[in-house]
Amino acid sequence: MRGTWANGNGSMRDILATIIDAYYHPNHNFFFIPHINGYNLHLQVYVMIAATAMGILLLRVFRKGRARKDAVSPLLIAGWIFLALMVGLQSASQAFHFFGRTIPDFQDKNLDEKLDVIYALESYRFVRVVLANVQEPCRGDFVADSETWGTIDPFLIRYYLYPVVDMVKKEAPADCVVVYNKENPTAAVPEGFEVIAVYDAKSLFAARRK
Amino acid sequence: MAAMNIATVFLVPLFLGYAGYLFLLREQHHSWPAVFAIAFGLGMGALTQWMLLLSAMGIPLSRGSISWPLLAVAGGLLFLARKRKALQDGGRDRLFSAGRVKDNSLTRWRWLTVVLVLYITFQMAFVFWRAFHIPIYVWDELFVIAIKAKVFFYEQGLLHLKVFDLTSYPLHVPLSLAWVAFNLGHWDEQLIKIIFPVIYGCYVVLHFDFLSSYVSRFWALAGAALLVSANYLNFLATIAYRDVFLMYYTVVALMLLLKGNETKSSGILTLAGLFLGFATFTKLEATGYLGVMAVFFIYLLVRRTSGPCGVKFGFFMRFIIPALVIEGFYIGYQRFHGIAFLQGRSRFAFSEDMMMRAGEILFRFGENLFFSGNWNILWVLLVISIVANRRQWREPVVQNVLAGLLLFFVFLVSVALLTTNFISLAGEYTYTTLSRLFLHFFPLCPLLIVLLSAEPKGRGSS
Repeated sequence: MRGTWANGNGSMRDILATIIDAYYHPNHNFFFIPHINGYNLHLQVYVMIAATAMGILLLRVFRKGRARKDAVSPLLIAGWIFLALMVGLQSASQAFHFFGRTIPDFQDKNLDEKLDVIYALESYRFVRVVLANVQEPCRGDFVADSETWGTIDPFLIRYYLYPVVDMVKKEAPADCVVVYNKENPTAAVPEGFEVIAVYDAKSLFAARRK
Repeated sequence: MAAMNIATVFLVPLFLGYAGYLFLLREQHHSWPAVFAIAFGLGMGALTQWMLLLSAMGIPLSRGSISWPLLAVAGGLLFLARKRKALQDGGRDRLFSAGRVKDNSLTRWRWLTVVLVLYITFQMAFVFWRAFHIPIYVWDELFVIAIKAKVFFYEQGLLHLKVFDLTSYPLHVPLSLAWVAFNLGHWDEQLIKIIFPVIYGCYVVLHFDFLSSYVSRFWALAGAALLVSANYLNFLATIAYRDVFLMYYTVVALMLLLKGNETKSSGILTLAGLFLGFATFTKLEATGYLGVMAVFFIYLLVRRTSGPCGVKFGFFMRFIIPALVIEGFYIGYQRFHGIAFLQGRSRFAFSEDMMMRAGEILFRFGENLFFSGNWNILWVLLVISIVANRRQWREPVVQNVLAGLLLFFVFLVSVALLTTNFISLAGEYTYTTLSRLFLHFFPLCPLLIVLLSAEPKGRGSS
């Protein structure tokens, strides 16, 4: 299993892998903390901070007879200790993914290979097919099934096809049409257009007949 | 040749920003790294305003049309600054950093210093490597930021602004990306993101520099390490989102406000106003932050017992006018082109369920701050630091930064309570929006932790 230490047999190594994997999610723009035994991992850290602070306080009371008023707060000491532990764990997680996965995946690769790693999406493969077949820059319309519009695909296709196929400006009539993920795509090709490239049964690229 | 093109991406805004800095502040108040960190932000802010002006006048954008007039302006500002004997080196009154006060804290804590420096270096290397090796791929980059920049570059202007989704979004970051492309001479999916790790690095430098004017350099270094321990900040610095820029402009404006208020320097206050203005040209939220900062500065002025009201009013104007002029320029540009400012994205919506909303808002805010992987455990450490270090409460800088932080939270809670933005701020799937909003003022958290934990300069150990 690339990118994780976990071996899936519930061992101590698995628990460590769960914690370490928790702190770095490559290519995501927000981070969820996992739950262990139904409790958020941070909540468990906060309980440990409180317990450690209690321990430090008790130790002081037993050793000195009473807690010194001018001493640094046990809660603060516990907080810094656990912060250091968390930073250590997070750095380990980050370094593990960074050196073990991100660098091998992205170093010395071309754009197509990199985007294949990130997306593994049909939409970018479709972009490559269109770019390989388009004969001259054109103003294009985008046609897709309604469920495709809620995904990243229309924006990715628009971005990576621009400026060769310009689906941004709407002033001029279209001289090409990009049909992606639509049942019976040939039905979406307007009169006077010819199919230039077929990607699969649902996606094609067509341009105005000369 | 490619290296030269990349260099000009930075040299033009740096030169412009440095000239503007000297013109406003009359002398160099900061350490050299901090001067670069401020000059780059100032220069980039002025540069994108100039690009907007060129577009408004119908002049095609190109490397020449953008940079030559700006270089001439920078030369003029330097000449004026020199004429005012601005470049004299003697008797500097350092603004942020410790200046020449002896500080042996780094050598006293040698091993910890080495660990902190290694940690910060690792995080910086991570951010720079990722930004340079991973192409444009995240939703908002494709949907609204990089696509606009790409069209501005190929069309050499903002001719087609109205055809985009979310037309009203401010344009600092798309124009910055277009500036990179104009210098490179082509659109490069990798190099286009070069400015994001750099602005991240600039902020880390200023964070350290600001802290080192109040606490020892060791603690300032610890503050920088706390800052970069937030996963979310590091991640956003590697993609072409607008939030790290907004964080830089907002928090640096707040730092400058504090320093301008302490030193009674109108030049620093004008600089703070400019930074806040550039923030409003980065994201729509910053229009709200402008109100927050205005209230914050009024609070600072009211707290200051000395000085007649007229002088205080003058200081306030020095700060607020540059910010309003920059904000007004873009609003005017939008109105001229028939683009609504908010496009109905935020409306006042008072409801009787407000109290129910309040509980939900606090739950969502708490969940994000304390139970997500975005911020490490820094927010809890801040709460502990506030409770455990009551002795530090009397420090003015602690009180002021805490007031600033609370004002930001009050603003966000008010927006969630009273507007249609409740769904995006405290709805069920609010993770990304809320996280990005918190990021804009998140650095105040590690700043406060250090200011509360360390002995202030001059009181105890240095």
